[in-house]
Amino acid sequence: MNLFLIVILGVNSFLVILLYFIMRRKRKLFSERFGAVLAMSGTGIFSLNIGLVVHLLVKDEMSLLSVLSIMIGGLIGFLFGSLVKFQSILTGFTHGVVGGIMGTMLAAVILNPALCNLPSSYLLNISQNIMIFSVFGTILSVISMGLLCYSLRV
Amino acid sequence: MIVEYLGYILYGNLVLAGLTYLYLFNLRKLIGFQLGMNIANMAGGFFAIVTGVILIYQFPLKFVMITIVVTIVGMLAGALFGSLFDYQTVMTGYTNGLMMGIMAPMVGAAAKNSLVFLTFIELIFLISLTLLVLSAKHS
Repeated sequence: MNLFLIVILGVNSFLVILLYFIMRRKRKLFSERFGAVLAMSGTGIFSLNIGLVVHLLVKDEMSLLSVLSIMIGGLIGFLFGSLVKFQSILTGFTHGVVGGIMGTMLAAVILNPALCNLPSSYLLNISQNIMIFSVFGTILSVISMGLLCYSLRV
Repeated sequence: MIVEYLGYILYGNLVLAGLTYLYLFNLRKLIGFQLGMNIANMAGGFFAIVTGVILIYQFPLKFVMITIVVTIVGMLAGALFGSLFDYQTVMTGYTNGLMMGIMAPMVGAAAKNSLVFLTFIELIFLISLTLLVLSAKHS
């Protein structure tokens, strides 16, 4: 299970770095508006996914991990926001922090279903839910990255 | 008690969103991209959240499946409303629908089948559709 989550985390970090360098090479082609949209949509899904996987990987120390995932989200937002104009840092930072908080919340609900008053039958298949959610998040981030790369030629 | 009527509420929401989409489709040449971005955000997000709350009230034992379905529904609703304008509004609506769709079943499961909460969410959805039509009319 740990190896699987580490692989998922590595894939997500690789996607973030790949998207950053693709966009950095072509940043002269953007308008300001596309910079804001890029900061918004790229940052949200990637920081949500990374926050989720980090929290599932290290199950204890909830408060420290939430601070860590919020900082990772803010950092990703800062990176994508600073590509075109400095105004879009505001958009990127906001969506990164919101995505980090939401990923922490989703991971806490998956690990402890009694938080949301879910029935106790969820306690039996927590590890299955962990795998389903991390794979689903990775599929979502691949789809988002594909849409963002496709928008360069529209 | 309210479980019997949840299907009708979902169907009513779908019909209302469809009517709003048809109304905006006729006016789409008159709307600029700023308003278009806000329309895509608002319609995708609130449609996802109301669908998520209704579905988790109906099927409380299938949290994982409902989260995936509602995320896809939110993505499609946001992208559909955004595709009235141009590609960047599609991206905006898609992202916001995704975020709200992941969040909605958690909120619905924490509300423990409360009727007041469902009424409140439904009111917010109706008010948002009204605001959307009004803002498109006066743009």
